[in-house]
Amino acid sequence: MRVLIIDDDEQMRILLRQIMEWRGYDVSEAENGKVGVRIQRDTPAELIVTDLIMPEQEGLETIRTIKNEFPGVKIVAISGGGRIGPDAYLPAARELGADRVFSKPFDIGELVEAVEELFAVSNKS
Amino acid sequence: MDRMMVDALKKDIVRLQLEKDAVENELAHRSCYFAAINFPVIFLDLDLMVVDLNGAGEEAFGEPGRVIGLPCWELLQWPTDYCIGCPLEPDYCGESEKGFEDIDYSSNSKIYRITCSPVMEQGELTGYVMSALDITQQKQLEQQLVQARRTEAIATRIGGVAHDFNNILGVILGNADFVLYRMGIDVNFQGDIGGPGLHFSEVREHFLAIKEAAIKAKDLVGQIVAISRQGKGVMQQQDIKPIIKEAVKLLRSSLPSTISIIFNEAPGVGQIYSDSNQIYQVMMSLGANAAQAMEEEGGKLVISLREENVRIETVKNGRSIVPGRYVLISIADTGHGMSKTMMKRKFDTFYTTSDVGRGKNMDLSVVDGIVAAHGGVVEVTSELEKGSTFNVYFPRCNIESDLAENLFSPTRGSETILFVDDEEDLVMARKRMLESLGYKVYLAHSGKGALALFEKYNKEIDIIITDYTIPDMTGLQLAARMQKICNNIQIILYSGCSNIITLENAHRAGIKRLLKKPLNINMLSLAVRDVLGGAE
Repeated sequence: MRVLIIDDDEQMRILLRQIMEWRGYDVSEAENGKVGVRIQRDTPAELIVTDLIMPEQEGLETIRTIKNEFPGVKIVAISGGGRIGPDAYLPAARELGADRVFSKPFDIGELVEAVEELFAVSNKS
Repeated sequence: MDRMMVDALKKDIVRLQLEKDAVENELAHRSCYFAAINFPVIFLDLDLMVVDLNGAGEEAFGEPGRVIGLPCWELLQWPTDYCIGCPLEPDYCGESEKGFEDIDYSSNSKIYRITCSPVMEQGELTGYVMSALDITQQKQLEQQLVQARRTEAIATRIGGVAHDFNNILGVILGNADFVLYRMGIDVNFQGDIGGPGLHFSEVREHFLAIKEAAIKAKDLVGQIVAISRQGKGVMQQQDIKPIIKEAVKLLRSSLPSTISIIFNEAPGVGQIYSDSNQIYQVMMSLGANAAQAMEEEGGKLVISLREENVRIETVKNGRSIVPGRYVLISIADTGHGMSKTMMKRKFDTFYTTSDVGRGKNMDLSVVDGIVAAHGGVVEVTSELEKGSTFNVYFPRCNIESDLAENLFSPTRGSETILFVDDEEDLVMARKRMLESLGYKVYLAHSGKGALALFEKYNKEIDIIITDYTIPDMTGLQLAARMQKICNNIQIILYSGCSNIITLENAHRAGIKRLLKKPLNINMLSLAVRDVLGGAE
C-alpha cells in the first residue's frame, strides 16, 4: 500500500515518511501540489497526506484535482493555519473531499490511527 | 445758470445717485457672498499683504485689526517669505489658479489646503485671492486609515509567522512523539506499536531534527519581536529584501494557484530608510490589487526588486522624482488593466475600481501615502486587457553597507562645505576631519550666521551640512531660505531625533540627505560624495 506525502517543509516530509514506513507503507514524496499531482498520475497511491499552504500549488487545489482524477483515493489534510486563523482552511479541505483533517502540531498517534482506519475502509470497499 | 443746465445737472445727479446705489448694492451683495463663504478667503495685494478677509478668515487667523497689513506667510506662520510650495513665488505668471497643501498653521494645529487666484482689473494684475480650506479632519481620517491598514498588515504578518511556527512545532512534537511511541512510552496511542525496533542512529536523527526545528523557532521569535517593535511605526535604515521575500511567500500561499508568482531580485540592492511594516503593507496591497485584476482568468504576477539611477528630474504620478539612486520594487500583472478614468482616480482615497463591497483599491491611496511618506514615488502604467505595472521608487541610502566596505577609507573630495552647528567642539572636530579629506570648510554656529556666510560665498559653496537644532531657526527653515538664495544648493541635514522630520518635508525643503546623530566621518564623507556625485 502506498502513501503519497505532499508538504513543502522538508523536515515534516522526512518525519511523515519515517512514520509511514514504520507502519509498513511504501512512500512517495512531493514538495508541492503540482509535483504531487504528477507523482500521483505516475505512481498512484491509495492514500495522500497533504499540507494545505504551499508554494506553486496549494493543498486545496491539489485535493480538488486529485479527487477529480482519483475519486477512490483517501486524503488526509494537515494545516499549520493561515493568516486568517489556525484552522481556517481545514473546513474547505473537508468540503473538497479530504477524509480527515489535522491542524499542526498534530498527534502522531491520532494520525497513524486515522491512516489505518482509512486503509481499512479502502480495503473493505 | 439757465434752466436747461439746471435740469441737465439734476438728471446727472439722479443718474450718478442711481449708479452709486447700484455700486453700493453690488458691494453689499458681494460682501454678503464674501461673508457667507464658510471657509477663509483672504485678499492680498501685489506684495502679498493681507488687504481684507471674510468672517471665516477672521475666525481662523484673527481680527482684521491684527492681520490686515501682515504678509500672508506670517498669517500661515511660515518663518520665511514664500511658504514651501507657494504658487505665488516669483516665477508665478498670474494666469491661472494654483494650489498647494499641507500648510500646518501651527497656532491652532490645523492643516489648510491653500489655493490662490489672481485678481485682474482692466487686464492688469492687482492682487490675489487666497482661500484656505481646512482639511485637518480629512488628513486625520487618512492617517487613521493608514493606521488601520498598518495594524491589519501586522496581523497578517503575525498570522504568517504563526503558520511557520505551527509547522515547526509539528516537526518538534512529531519527532518527540514518534520516538516515544516506538519506545512504548506513549499513553494515548491505542494501536499496535509493531514495526522494527528503534536504533540508536534513529534516535540521534530524531533529536537532530528536533534541534534544527528549535533553532528555526528561535529565529521566528526574533521575527515576532521585530514585527511588534515595528508596530509603533519605527523608521530605520534597512535592507528591505527580507520583507519583500516574506510578502512574496505569503502572496504565494494566499493567492489562487491560477496566478503564478515570479520573484526576481537583482544582487546588491541597497538599503532604504523605512518602516518595514509599511513596506510589507505596500507589497500586500499591490499584490492583492494585481490578483484582483487577474482573478477571473488567472495570469502572471512578476515582482522584482532592483536599483535604478534617475538621471534627470522626472514627474511620476504628479510627484517629481529628483535625480539619484533609487531602490525600485516593480509589481506587474497580466490582468484586465485600467481605463484612462480609472488611471486618473486610482489613488483617490475612497475610489474603487471594483464592484462595491469587493473593492480593495482603497488600499491604493494608502500605498500612495506610505510611499510619499518614505520620500518615494509610485509610477503606474496600464493597458486595457494587457495588465498593469506599479513601479515603487524609494530613495536608496546604502550608507551603512558602503560604510562596511569603506570602513577605513573615508572618501575624499575638494569641494567647499558650509558646516552649521552650535556645538563648538563638534564643529571644530568635523572641520578638521573634512579638511583632512581635501574639502574646504566654512563654519557657522547659527542660522543667521549661516545665511550671512552663504549670501557672501554662495558661488563658492557646493554643499551645506546642518544640524536640525541650531539657534535662530530650524535646519529645515535654514534649508528653505538657502534654497531661496540658490535653488540648486545641495543640503545634508542631520538630527538626533528623526521623528520630527518627515522625509516629505525634508524633500520639500530641498534636503538631499537625512543623517542621524551621532555623525561619523565615514558616514558623513560618503553622504557628501553621494550627494555631490562621484568619488575623487
